[in-house]
Amino acid sequence: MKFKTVVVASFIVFVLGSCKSKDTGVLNADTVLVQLNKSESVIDLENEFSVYSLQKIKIVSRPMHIFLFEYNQNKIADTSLIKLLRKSSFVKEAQQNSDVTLRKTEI
Amino acid sequence: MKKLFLFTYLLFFLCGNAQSQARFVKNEILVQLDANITASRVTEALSNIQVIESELISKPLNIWLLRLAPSEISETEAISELYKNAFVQVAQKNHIVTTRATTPDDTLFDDQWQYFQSNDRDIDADDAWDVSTGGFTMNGDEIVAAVLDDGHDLDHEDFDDNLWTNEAEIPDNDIDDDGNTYIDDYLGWSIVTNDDNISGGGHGTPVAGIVGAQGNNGIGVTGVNWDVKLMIIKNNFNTNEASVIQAYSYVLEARILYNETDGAEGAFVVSTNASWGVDFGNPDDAPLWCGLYDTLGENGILSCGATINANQNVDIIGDLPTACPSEYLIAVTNTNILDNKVTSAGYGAETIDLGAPGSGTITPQSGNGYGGFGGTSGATPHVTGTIALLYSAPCQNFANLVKTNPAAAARLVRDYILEGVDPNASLEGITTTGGRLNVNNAIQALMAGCESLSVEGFNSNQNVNLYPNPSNGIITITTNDNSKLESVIIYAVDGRKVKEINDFQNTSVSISDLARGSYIFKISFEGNTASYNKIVIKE
Repeated sequence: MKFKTVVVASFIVFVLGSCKSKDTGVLNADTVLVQLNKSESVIDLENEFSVYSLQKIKIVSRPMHIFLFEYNQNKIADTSLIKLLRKSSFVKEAQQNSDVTLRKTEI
Repeated sequence: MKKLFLFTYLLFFLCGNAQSQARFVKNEILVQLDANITASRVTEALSNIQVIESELISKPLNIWLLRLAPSEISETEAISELYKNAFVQVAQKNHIVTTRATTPDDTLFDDQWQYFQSNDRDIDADDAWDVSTGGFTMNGDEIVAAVLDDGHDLDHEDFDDNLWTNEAEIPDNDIDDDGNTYIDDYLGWSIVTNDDNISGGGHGTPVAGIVGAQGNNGIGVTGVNWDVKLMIIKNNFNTNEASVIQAYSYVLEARILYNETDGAEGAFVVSTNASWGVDFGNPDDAPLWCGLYDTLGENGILSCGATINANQNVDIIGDLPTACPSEYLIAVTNTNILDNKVTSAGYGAETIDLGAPGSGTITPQSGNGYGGFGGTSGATPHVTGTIALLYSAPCQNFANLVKTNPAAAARLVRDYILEGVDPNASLEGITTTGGRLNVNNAIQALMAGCESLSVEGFNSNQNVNLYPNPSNGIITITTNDNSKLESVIIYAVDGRKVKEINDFQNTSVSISDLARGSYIFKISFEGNTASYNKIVIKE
């Protein structure tokens, strides 16, 4: 009984921890940055990659036609998706959306 | 009492008068003689002055330096004696000339070792400030440096009107007054809240202070640039690349708008600062981020990136953004008060361009205070501020080039900075320049090259084609009407003439003998009185 309580408590802590990580935006594995040849091609691209549930989240650079998309990472790995995106006629360039941090002061 | 006052006044007058005497080199006289008359012809005729050495110091003006044997005769008496000789046109003492370094009255300036140290382990900012302390270009463009960081202490006393504001926007009215698609972007822009709430700045305030805390305002410290508009773009760090690109994009859009409207809208942003990054990041994984620096540069913006705060070779381990290959990105590592690279600072013979003082620099802190800052985060804004300072140099030709060819102007500023570094043993072989930032060398190079930036050339040379450019060997020069080359004069960016070609077998010019870097080609064609300037990069 006591062991079961510990397992349940651990599970709850794990879930809460996961939610916190998600909220602070540490995990970006389900998003990719895509530069389109034309800004108007967003819907065309979403249709082309609908099998991976590719959806625009927001525009990140108007003059450079760069958008942030989300996708279903259970269906495809980010590196594989980026390879496919780069082959699309709508896409100029694509990359992962990695974390960026302040430069820590010297030790 | 009256006598005491008169005595004091007399003493003060005498002391003051003595101090106002210009200093000169003992036992030396400068003398200008009639043309073709040598110093020996004059000195042989002198009876009571013994000249032990003479040196011709100006051939066209026939000016000689005479060194006299020490004697009871003063320099003033010697000059009188020299004037008795009919061949002597002018004689004078050899006055001691010193630099007129400009120092601000900021109360903590003496603690800002990076600007001036008696042992010269500094960036010679005080000498550079003799030329300019910031402000505007010669064409009246208000110079802006963008600080992309975690916000700013808006109540800090030492920024005053050095903070950029978007005067085309009415704050807090929920309307995009200037139509730039950013609503209420008056103080700057926050990627976090999508408005102009840029307050914060535990890291950003010190960074902004190094770029441009207001100089000579009688309080606190001075930035490397006394008078520059700081555009604050707030991000939450830790963040991700999407937010980074968004932040840069605000800056890019402002400069594009400025260029397109000839300054009527947008902002004249010339530099950006990134005191953050991705340790061990691979540029191949970030083509959009790295490519952004090219786009910024093509619109006239140089970017500065702080490299990793660890004793790592970035050429091998990678880093973002400082391993990005853009020619418009300057990658900076960290030096200390002893003018050595800080041990825990990144390096890279292929990737990291130069060192700048960072460790232990005094700068504004959030909470309206001041304190020590460091790391590559502190080093990099010195370069960012220097870029903005160079744009304020009093060189009309450069200001004109900024208007007509913003990308070429940006590349020149980069070259002035990189070629003007002070060689530094601790950076030799592990950075692209092997040196530490020297602001004065950079601005002096711009001023020295000012003349060579002239001519309608940069405006009206659409018919003149040079290719390939960049090149490592032969450059072909053609015109649409097949004009025949008359001369090509090649200048280094500091204005030195490095080559002149007047004899042409064909339309090609070899630059294989030139060192890597940017050069200005001044090209003339037969039957055409105009000359045309082109910037060529030697790889």
